[in-house]
Amino acid sequence: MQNHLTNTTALSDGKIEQIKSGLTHDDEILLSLYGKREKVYPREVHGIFAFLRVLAAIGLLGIFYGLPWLQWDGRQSVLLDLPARKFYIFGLTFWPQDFLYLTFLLMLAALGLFFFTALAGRVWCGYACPQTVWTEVFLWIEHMIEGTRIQKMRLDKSLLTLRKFRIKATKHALWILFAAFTGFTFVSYFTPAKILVDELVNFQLGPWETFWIVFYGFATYGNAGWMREQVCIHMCPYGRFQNAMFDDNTLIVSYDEKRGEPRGPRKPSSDHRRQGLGRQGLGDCINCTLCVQVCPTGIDIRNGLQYECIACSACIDVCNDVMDKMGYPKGLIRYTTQNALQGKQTRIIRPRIIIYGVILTGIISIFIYSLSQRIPAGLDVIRDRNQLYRETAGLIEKCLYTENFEYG
Amino acid sequence: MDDKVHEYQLRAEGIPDLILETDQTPVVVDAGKVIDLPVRLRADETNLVKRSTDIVFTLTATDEAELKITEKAKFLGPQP
Repeated sequence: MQNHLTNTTALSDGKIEQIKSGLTHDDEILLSLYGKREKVYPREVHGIFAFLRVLAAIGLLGIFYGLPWLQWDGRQSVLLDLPARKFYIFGLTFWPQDFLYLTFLLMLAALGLFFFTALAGRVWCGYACPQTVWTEVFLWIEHMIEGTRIQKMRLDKSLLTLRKFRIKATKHALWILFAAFTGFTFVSYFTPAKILVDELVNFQLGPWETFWIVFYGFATYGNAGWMREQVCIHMCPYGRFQNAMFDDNTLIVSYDEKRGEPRGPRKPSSDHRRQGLGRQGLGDCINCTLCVQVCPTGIDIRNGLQYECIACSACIDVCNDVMDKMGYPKGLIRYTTQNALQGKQTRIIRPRIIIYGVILTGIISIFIYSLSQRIPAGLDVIRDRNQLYRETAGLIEKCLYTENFEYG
Repeated sequence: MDDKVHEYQLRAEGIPDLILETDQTPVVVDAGKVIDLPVRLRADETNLVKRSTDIVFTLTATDEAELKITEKAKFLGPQP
């Protein structure tokens, strides 16, 4: 077997197929670990969930790119001033001794993840994760420059011509420009945006500012332009431990196997619904493979719940379109739960949700309460060590020494 | 919650007619700064029932009554 593996690097795709056909199942698994990534060309999709995704992307990116330009009390609304060790978040000023609140925030994030994953699956992955959101922007740029999925695939297969070079160069130039702006925006949370613009225009950026703009920009370009679904599949731990948080009542994107199978193309004359053939003939899946074509992680949702699925619901939108055209009811692929698929009752309110919900609400309440009770000053009383008291004409005088500490 | 200079008033309570004296009035603290403020407390011997009396220091910002902080201390005197 070792020979197979070392040889494959020098073999053509055809030869690999030949070898594969003679392999056992274990060999195949091992071989796939060394396999080259097959580029995913997600097809553009329209529909209600695509609309929600775009809305989420615009909202979240709007916050990220917009906040540094929003002023508050004569300064930048959100500014993490590291040299001065002051962290401004709108009307609040935090000091290093307020790090407790950061702990609260991290606890909230972790518990929020548990709660929402148990309730609605990987909604974070599909709608809000920076990896998903930036990949969508980069795909959108790619779509503008290179065209549709088929056009992109043809372009990538074609020989390098001046035209191909021009198209690719334009795409990468736009990607790099956008990535650089992203890096700039990231740094402007630490150096006020207006000052950073000044420094940039006058070529006076500091070494750390330059490093972080380039680094963050490069990471954006690499992750959203090149790595894409590989970050979700191979790098992100969340997808791997979702099993621990899922149960049979968790909202998942799923193909209705009972309704869809057996799948296959059909003529109008043999359409089971039109001809009233009932369940004898084909199921509702016409095997158009559009659900596979739109998938940003390149999986087939009809194979069941897979750890690669980021629940972006692109397959729901595209399948609903197909069902509409066929005159079938929508929802062959839909948001559902394992229980619903098996014909059982879905229970939204269940012990897991209640426990997560109570803890989450509790921590939010404590967080808000402690934040509202925060007194931005400190007082220490230190008694004078030399003299406990002094008697003066009938009055006791006591020497005390107060240290008065104010922060904010 | 803010990033401003504040002026404070320091009081001490716990013994009748307790007097707080300091050489530095008003007490002004810059944002993010720490100051040392030596103070003396004066009490009439007749008001002291114990060798050690609990007292409370209260620091209040003169421009913002909400900004108030208290700290416990002990007043040590001779055996009455």
